[in-house]
Amino acid sequence: MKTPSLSHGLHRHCQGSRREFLWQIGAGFGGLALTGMLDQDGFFAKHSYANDGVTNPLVVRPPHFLPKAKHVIFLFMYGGPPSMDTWDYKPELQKRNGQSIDIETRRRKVTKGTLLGSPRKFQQYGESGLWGSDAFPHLNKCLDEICVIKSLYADTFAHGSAMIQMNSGRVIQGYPTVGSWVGYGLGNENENLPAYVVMVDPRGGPIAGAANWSSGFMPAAYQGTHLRGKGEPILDLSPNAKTTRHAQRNLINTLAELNQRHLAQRPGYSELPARIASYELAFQLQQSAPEALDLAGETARTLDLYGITGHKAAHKQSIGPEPFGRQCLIARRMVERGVRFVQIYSGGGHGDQNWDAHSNVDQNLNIHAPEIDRPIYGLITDLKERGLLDETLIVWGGEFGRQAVAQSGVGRDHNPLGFLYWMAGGGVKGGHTHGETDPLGHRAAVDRHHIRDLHATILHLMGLDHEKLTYFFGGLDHKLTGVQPAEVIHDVIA
Amino acid sequence: MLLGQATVSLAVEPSRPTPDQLKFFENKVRPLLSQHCFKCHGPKKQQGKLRLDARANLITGGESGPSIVPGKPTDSLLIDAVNYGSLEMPPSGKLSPKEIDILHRWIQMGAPWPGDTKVRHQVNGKTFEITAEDRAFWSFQPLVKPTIAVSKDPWKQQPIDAFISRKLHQTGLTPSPPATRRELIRRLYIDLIGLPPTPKEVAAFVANQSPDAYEALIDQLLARPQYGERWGRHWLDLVRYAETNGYERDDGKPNAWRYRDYVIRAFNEDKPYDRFILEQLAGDELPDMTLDSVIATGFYRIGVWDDEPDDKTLARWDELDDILRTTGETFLGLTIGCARCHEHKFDPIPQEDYYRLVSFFRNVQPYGKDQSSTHWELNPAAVYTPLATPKQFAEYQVDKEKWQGQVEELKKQVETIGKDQAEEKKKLEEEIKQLQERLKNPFPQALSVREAGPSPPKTHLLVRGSPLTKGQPVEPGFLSVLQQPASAPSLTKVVTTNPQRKVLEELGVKPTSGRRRALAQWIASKQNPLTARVMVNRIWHYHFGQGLVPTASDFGSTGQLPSHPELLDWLASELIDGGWRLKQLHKKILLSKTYQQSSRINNQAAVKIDPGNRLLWRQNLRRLEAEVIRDSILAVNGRLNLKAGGASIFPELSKEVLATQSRPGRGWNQSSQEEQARRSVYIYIKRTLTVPLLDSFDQPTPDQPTPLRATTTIAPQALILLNSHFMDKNATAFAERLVKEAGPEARRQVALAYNLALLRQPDKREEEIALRFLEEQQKEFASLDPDTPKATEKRALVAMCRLLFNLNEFVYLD
Repeated sequence: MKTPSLSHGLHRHCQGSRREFLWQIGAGFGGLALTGMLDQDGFFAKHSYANDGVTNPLVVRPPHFLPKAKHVIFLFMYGGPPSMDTWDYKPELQKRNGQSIDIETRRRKVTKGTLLGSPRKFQQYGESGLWGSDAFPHLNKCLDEICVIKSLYADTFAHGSAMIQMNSGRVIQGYPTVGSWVGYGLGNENENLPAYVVMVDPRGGPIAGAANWSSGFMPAAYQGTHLRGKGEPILDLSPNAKTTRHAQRNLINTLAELNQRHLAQRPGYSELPARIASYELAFQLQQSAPEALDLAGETARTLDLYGITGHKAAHKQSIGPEPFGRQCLIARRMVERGVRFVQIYSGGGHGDQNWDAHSNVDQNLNIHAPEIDRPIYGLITDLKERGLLDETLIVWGGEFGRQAVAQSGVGRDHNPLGFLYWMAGGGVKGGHTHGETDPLGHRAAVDRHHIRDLHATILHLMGLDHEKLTYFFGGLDHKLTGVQPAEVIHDVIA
Repeated sequence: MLLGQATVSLAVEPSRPTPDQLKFFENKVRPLLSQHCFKCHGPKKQQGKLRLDARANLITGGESGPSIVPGKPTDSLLIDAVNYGSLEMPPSGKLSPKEIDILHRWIQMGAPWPGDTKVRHQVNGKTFEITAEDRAFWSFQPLVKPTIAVSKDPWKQQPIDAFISRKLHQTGLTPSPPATRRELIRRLYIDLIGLPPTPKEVAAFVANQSPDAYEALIDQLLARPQYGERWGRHWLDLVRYAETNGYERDDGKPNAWRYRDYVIRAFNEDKPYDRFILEQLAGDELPDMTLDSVIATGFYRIGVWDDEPDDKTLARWDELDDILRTTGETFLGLTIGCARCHEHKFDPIPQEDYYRLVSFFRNVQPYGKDQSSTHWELNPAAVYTPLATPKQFAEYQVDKEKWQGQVEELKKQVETIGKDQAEEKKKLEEEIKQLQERLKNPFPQALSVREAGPSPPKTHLLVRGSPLTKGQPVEPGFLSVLQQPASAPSLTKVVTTNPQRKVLEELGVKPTSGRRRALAQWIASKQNPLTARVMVNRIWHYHFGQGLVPTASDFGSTGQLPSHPELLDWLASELIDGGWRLKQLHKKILLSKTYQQSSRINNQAAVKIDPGNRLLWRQNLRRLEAEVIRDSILAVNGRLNLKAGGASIFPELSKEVLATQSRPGRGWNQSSQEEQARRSVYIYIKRTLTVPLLDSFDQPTPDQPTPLRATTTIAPQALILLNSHFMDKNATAFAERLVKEAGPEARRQVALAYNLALLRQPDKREEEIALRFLEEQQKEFASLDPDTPKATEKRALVAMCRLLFNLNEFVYLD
């Protein structure tokens, strides 16, 4: 059953002013646009409404408590980046490189493996002295802004279900994803842009494609909007070559005129004016979306900061930092415009096109780390300079980590038993680490957290209580964190 | 006031508050209680031993007795006290009449309070007790056909109207006048076949003064093959139908479309609903099984399936869970799946019931077989059944030897063939290959259920749902709450006297346990109180946009109560009495005055009393479903290809949409233009790649059963209907049709366009608007491209066609 049952206070609904009411019947990306026109007609004064069947699913809703962050930028390293080669320095592993060990490499399957020390060099950075590998020379300069959670675990060794779980909390396909929950809980602040946008790697989407930003059993209005950095930013945004913006304006005006005549004979149905308003919004979107994506106004310094200009690919299989840099910069522009949840995928397609380093972990890092190193450094620096870092939560990680033992010589297989995520900005402690893996970096050992806790923490920072944010479907009040116990990781919060 | 469901007439205790009721409570009621009552009757002080900060406390009351009787404000002490009756509360000063009214209305609604849904008490280790109160829940009561007096009064001539008008009358409401004939014919077409009528059909109906014209039209539409396509699609929502598995590879489920065609055929043939249930759950186990009934068991195979699960044992239980949940929600309207890990929190379904029910499915062969320690691959021997009739099988026995002989013969020829005849050799080898293929796969295949043999494995209760913690063994058994006293299912082995079954067994299909048949017979029984009620409510839901029970797949205590329980029971009885046939039921509903009412809101009193229209004082205005919008566009421009059945079609998807895949384009074929113009029900459903037009207009995710579609209004819908390639193509086709049929004159084109798209003539003003629009568009295009007046004229006409397809009048049904 697709009946939203928000169990946190919805104060605007019944006692709101007329103006607030207009908000609610707005459409999709927001609501105020054309309602002004209806208002002038005195439409709302004349009729009471038969039902509120078409309230805007993305109406702005108050959080459960004062949020630390207003936006999330989720940088998804598809394929699963290694922890022990990035920010989880394991001297013991380095020492025991080459030793044989019994180790769980698939669920309940213990096999003999050969320990693989990290091929990267580690050192401490900044005032906090967090360890970082030489894979990220630029990003390491920001470690004082970053909180590394080293002790996460998840439920599956396979990409398919792990991707689904990292995004929706479940290993079973068909549940709403984190961005959908955020949009459902808080609504959309910008009527002219989607609340939840997703950008994929130019090499291809992640496996299971759109299932990763699906709204599951929630209405489609809550799903992620696939945004393209080049060309047409949103599907079917612009009129095709055979028409013009002026002609489309004329069409939408005429449409509104005829729809008004239709409406006049059918007073009392709020869905009809809502649909009229949706066209005005669509028209505005044609201007606001390309504007949000247009980097022409950005300075040369900014473009350079994000690695968009002047940095070639460092490896022949790499696409260089330009595409991800562009997406990070767009993410900042989205955040500036009030977008709630931006997810960017690094890595696409299959094999070494993403972070799935089965054959050679060093080479895989050589391909992918420089693609994101400058861009993320640029993003953090830029947000900080603009005073936006405090209200923007950056989340970095993949669908799982990788094993301490070697695969095919110098590669690493999947590892959901212990892996790291880091967060920055948005109310988290900078220069901090939380939790530990065992000395070999294989399994979460100290302050272990299921990824449910990561989800609960993201919601918490956004002012949402994961226990209270529920959606009724199929006889059950569903939560992002499901039915198992979950907790906010308070230690990471500033 | 925006209280959707909170109507005065439904002053019954809601088992679960609606979101609107909770909003009302939070915004109006809680502030009142908190401001005036909690200080003395709250967590700190409890004067008169009374606390008013939880619903249960209000009901229990204090020294003076219960404070409220939900649903009965006049019997509630709270109301008496705030009116300064026997008590004077709050003592600081009487509440305003408006405030008193709020409390009054709140109690009338049943005193909804968030988080107060009755949670069933359970004690670990103790038997889950099903109480007499549980058994007395409305939907578990045996079905008894209610009677109602009919009379000459137009609203009492037939029972449906009598039930509806009685309740309206009790509430002081009156029904709405009938819809116009033009509205009615469109309503009937869209409801029954999902396509608009042609202008000719409208004209004939409007002109036909015969009193039987309406009924004749119903019969005619129910007889059209498009009826099954329309209603089959509703069913596909309920059974989570898709043609791929989901997850990383999202591989196809070859031949899944045969199930889709079976469903469409079942509706078209008016297959009795009990038979429809039996076939889907146990079509391979029935004594009178047919190949069609085997195809019906595709029901088991169309859900999500992870071919690389982390934990194969758990994944196997997930597969069974998907089957049981879908069965429970679809056929019984119960959320049995909630009892997988613990006793059901709200309904009287002990965890043991879950495993007793799951054991009926326990012998269903898993979808996959091991391909490696981590991967599964589809197991054809478990998931497919050859479709061979006894006659075809006999013919095959003859042909087989013939083909084998031919292969031998051809092989000899190849051996002796000269080196210089490479071409000839290749041809022969190709022929051999074809024959060998025919020998290997002589029959088409149905995606279907298969069992491993007659003896199922033992089923145990799984503590907390985990396969690692086996509890006590359980035997197959039905829902305890419906068994008084408990009766064990009769489990009989499947008879193999059926010649069709014998043929399949000769082709390698193993005998089955007969368990699924036992379950199916229990569900499809006249004695089952849920089955018929749930189904008639679905039919009602699709005809009115809202069921008598709005929560169409939840007839348990988290669901909503029926607005007209007697009508629901009457309809359910009619379904059974009518041999479980749906067409007669449609007809009864469609012939009612209730259905034929206008959807206009012309009764402000009714809006106030029943804003959600649960009492049906009018018909509802409805947005067309995604498929109907697409099909209507194709019907209006004349491109619609009504070819029925067969493998699914692939509409063209843009590069941008395909770019979301890890292998862009994988698993998405290309269909010819002609094929792409077929009805939406034939579009391939791929779990990780949806068709934007359908997706944005709320075609549901196929990963979960969907009883109620959302109806959202969002800007991307407008963008798709304005700018998509699909719209370009189809607006252009419409324009071409207009030129062809109306000639070059704009006025005539406009008239025809209106007639085809909106089934009426434009009025004077609309004609002016259309002509002005054409002129403006033309001027705009001419300024860009002054040399080709013919082309700009056409472009303007295409724009007008696009405009018409975007109108609310086109997208909504009166």
